[in-house]
Amino acid sequence: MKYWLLLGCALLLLSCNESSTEELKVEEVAMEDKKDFEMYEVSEMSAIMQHMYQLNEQLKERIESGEELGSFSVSFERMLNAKMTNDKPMDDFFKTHAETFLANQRSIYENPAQAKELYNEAINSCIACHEVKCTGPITKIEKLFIK
Amino acid sequence: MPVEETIVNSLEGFAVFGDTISPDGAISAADMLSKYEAMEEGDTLEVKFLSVIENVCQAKGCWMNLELSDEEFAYIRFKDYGFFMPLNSSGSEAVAEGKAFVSVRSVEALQHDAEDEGLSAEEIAAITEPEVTYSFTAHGVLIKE
Repeated sequence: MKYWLLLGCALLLLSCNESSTEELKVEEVAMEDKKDFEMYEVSEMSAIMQHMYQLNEQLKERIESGEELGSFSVSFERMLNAKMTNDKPMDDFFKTHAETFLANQRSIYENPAQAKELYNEAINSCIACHEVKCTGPITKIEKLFIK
Repeated sequence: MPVEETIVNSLEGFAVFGDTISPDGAISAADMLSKYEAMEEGDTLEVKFLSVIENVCQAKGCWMNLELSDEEFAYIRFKDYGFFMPLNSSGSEAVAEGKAFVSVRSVEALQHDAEDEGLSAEEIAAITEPEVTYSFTAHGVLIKE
């Protein structure tokens, strides 16, 4: 049985300050599925995390090349209310770390002269939460660091 | 982080996850165990082996254990968090290709995976020691259909 499994269309166009780069990618997966494999369906939180990853990849490039940074994307704030995988409750640990991450992310745009250091601090705050909540993507997140 | 650049194609008799790899040349689980036993923390080995999936992360499918023997397992994650396993693939034969290494996993990491595996609160609380783990980062996995 052949079918298409839609993995990525979880979010709408997020409100944006960087309009051309704010659309989430929609990813489709084709699979010859003789075993009726049951695949994970991307949660709202996962989609936001992916979106933030993409924007930080772009921000990294801008910092490295000395381009104009643009402005903080308010779409990031959706992480404070998004549904987590398997509808897990959002605990205080996550909320505290999410606020720290958002504050760090905002500070990059408020202090462009220190963008590299503040950007790396934001990525560190991201990893600090993932070390407790979900270690899987840490290796990938580490690739965002500016060396 | 969610799935990115997930590629699932098909080979004859296999479902393909991640890079399209070939089952040819895969070593056995027993041979893989021998290689792990000869490794120390910090060593890495590019390798491909065939075994049976013991269990899979029930939250996302973002890790799995492949049997090396009745008592030993390889803990598999997927390169760049780029693809996941089917949640119901336990017991299936699989070929994994990638990098094998030995790591020490923290109590927190072990408890987190135990939670994703669906273990009880008591079972999770019973995890109190870090564990030397036969680890593996796969860039491609085949699951026999």
